[in-house]
Amino acid sequence: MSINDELIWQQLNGQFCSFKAKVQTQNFCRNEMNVTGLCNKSACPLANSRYATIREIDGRCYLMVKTIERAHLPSRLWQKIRLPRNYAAALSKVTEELEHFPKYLQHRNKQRLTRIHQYLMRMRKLALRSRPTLTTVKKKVERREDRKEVKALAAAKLSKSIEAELLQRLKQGTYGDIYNFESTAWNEALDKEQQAQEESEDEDEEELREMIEYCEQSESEDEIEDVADRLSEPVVPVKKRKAPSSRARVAIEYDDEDSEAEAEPVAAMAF
Amino acid sequence: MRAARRRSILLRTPSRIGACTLPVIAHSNTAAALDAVDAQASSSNTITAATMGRTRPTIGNKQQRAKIWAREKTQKREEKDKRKEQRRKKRSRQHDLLRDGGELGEGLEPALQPRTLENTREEEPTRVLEGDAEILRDEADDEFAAHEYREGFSGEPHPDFVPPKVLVTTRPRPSKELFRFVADLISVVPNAFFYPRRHFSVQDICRKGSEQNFSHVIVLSERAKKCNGLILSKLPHGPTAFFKVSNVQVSDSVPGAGRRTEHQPEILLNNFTTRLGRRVGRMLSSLFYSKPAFQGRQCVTFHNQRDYIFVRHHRYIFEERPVDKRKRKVIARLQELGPRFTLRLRWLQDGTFDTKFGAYEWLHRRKQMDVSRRKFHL
Repeated sequence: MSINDELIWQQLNGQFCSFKAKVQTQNFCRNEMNVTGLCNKSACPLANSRYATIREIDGRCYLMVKTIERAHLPSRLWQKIRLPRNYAAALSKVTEELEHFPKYLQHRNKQRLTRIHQYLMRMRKLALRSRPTLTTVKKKVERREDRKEVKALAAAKLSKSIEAELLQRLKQGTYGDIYNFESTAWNEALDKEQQAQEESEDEDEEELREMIEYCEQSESEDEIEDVADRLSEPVVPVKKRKAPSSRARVAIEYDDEDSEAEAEPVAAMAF
Repeated sequence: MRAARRRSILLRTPSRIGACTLPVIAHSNTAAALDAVDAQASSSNTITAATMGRTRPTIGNKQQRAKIWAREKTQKREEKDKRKEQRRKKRSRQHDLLRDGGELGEGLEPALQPRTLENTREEEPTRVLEGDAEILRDEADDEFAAHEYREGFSGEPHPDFVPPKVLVTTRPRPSKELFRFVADLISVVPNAFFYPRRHFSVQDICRKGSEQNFSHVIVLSERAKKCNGLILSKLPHGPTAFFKVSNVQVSDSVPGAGRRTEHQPEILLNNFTTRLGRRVGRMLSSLFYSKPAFQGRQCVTFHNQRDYIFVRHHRYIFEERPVDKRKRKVIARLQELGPRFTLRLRWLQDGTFDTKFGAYEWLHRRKQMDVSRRKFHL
C-alpha cells in the first residue's frame, strides 16, 4: 500500500472516475479487472498497486496479477496466469499464487472463480439443448402456396380417385369374399354365353349343311319329309334355351384373383 | 465441361445463320466467334430465309402498322378456328362411325389432351418404377417394416409384428381449437394417446416415448389458433418429418360428415411416386394398424397432388347400378367422416427430433427447389 494508492483513490472517489456507475443505493465499477464489480477502495483495480482478479477469455480462466514492481510498465502491468480447466486444480493454483495477498483479495478471487465455472457449465448445457426459435412467416410465399393448394385440390379430383382406387381393390380381390356382386358374374356369364352362342350357331350351320347334303343324296321320301320337318322347326338359338331363369344359379368366382390374394397378404396392399 | 458446352454452342451456330458456311473457329470467346460469323455473313451478302424471318421491316406509320398487325391477327385467328372446326367434324364423323359399329381403320385422331402440370411434370430421377425389386427389398428392411402386418403360423400376428402406438401432443399452452383437432386425430388413428405437453421439450418427449414403447410421436403446432405444423417422429431411431399443415376442417365442420366406427381403417396412398414420396407415404401409413377391418368400410386417404398431401377419411359402399338393359356395374359411393387437412413436407430428418445436430435426409430449400413450377418431389 503506497501513498500513491491513497492519492488515486481520493481522486477517483471524490472527483471523477470514468468506470464508476452510480445507482441510488451504491456505486458500481465497470472496469473489467474489478474482482467484485463494486466501487470501493479495496476492490478498485486502479487504486491498488497490488491486485489480483480472474478473467474468463474464450471459455478459459486466467488469473491476472498486478504487483507494484510492474507499475512502471503499463503494457506489462498485469501478469496473466492460465488456470487449469479442472475447478479444484484451478482453486489450488489461485491459493498458491495469492499466498501473500490480502485475505480479502484471496477470498474474492476464489468466489469469482467459482462463479465463472458455474456459468461456463450452464452455457455448455444450454448449448446442447435446442430451444424454440422464432422464424419469419413469409406472407407472399404463404399466399402463393395457398393458391397452389387450391389448384392442386381441384386437379386431385379426390372422390373420383378414391372411388377408382377402391374399385381397383375390389377387382383385385383385396376384400376376399366379403362382397358378392352378381353383376360381375352376370356380365361374365353374359360374355361366355355370347361366345357359346356364336360357336353353337356355327355348329348349327354345319349341321344344316350336312343334312341338306344328306337329303340330296337320299332317295327315300320319308327321310326327306323327316328332314323337311326338322328343317321347318325354328332353329332356336342356344342362348334362349340356356337363358338363366334365376340369377341365383350364378356363383361368383374370383378363382384367379383369390389365389393371388391369398398368396400375398392384404397388408402388403395397404402400404 | 465448360469447354464442351462452348463447343456445342459453336456447333449450333450454322443452323442459326442458314446457308452461310461457317469457318472452323478455334476461339475460346463465343461472342467473338459469333461476331466473326456475322461479319462473314454480311460480307458475302447471303440473306437467307432464316435471316429474313428474323429481321422484319418496320413500318414507320403507326396507324398503318396497327392496321396491318390487326389484319394479320384476325387472319391467324380465322385459320385456327377453321382448323379446329375441321378437326371437330372429323372427330364427330369418327364417333358416329364407331357408334354404328363401323371400322375406322387408319387415321383415328386421338382427342387432344389439355396440358396440365401433371402431364408436363419434370422427370424426377428417383421415380420408382412399378415392382422395382431393389426398392421393395429396401422397403422391407426399413424403419416401418415392423409395423406391416404379418401373420404367424397359427393365424395370430407374427411375433415380429409391432402394432403402432402413437403419442399425440401439442405445442406448450395450446388453444381450445387445437384440442378439437387433437380429438379428431386420436379417434382416426387407432391406438393413439394424447399427453399434455407441459414444459417438456420435443426431445424429452421422444426419449420418454421410446422408453414407454411408443412407436410414433406427433406434435402439433399452431398459429393464431389454427394448426399450422405437424412433427411426426418415428421412435426410437427416427426418421422425423415436419409437415406444414393447412386447411384443417375438424369432423364437426365437414358438411354431411358421418360418425366413424372403431374399425381399423384401410389406407389409400395415391401418387407417391418418388423415393422420397414412397418413404413419406410409408411413414404416414405406418401410423395405422396395417390389417384393416374391411367390414368397417372405412378408409383414410393420403393423396399426393403436386406435393400437397390431402388427408381425407371416408366410409365407402359398393353398389350395383344398371348400365343398360342387361348389364350392370359396381360403383363405389363415399361418405366423408372427417377430419380434412393438407400436409406439405418441409423436412425429413434422420433420427428423432433434433434441429441442432440432426442430419437432414431432405430439406425443402425454396430458393433452389421452387425454381420450376413443374418440378415435384413426392
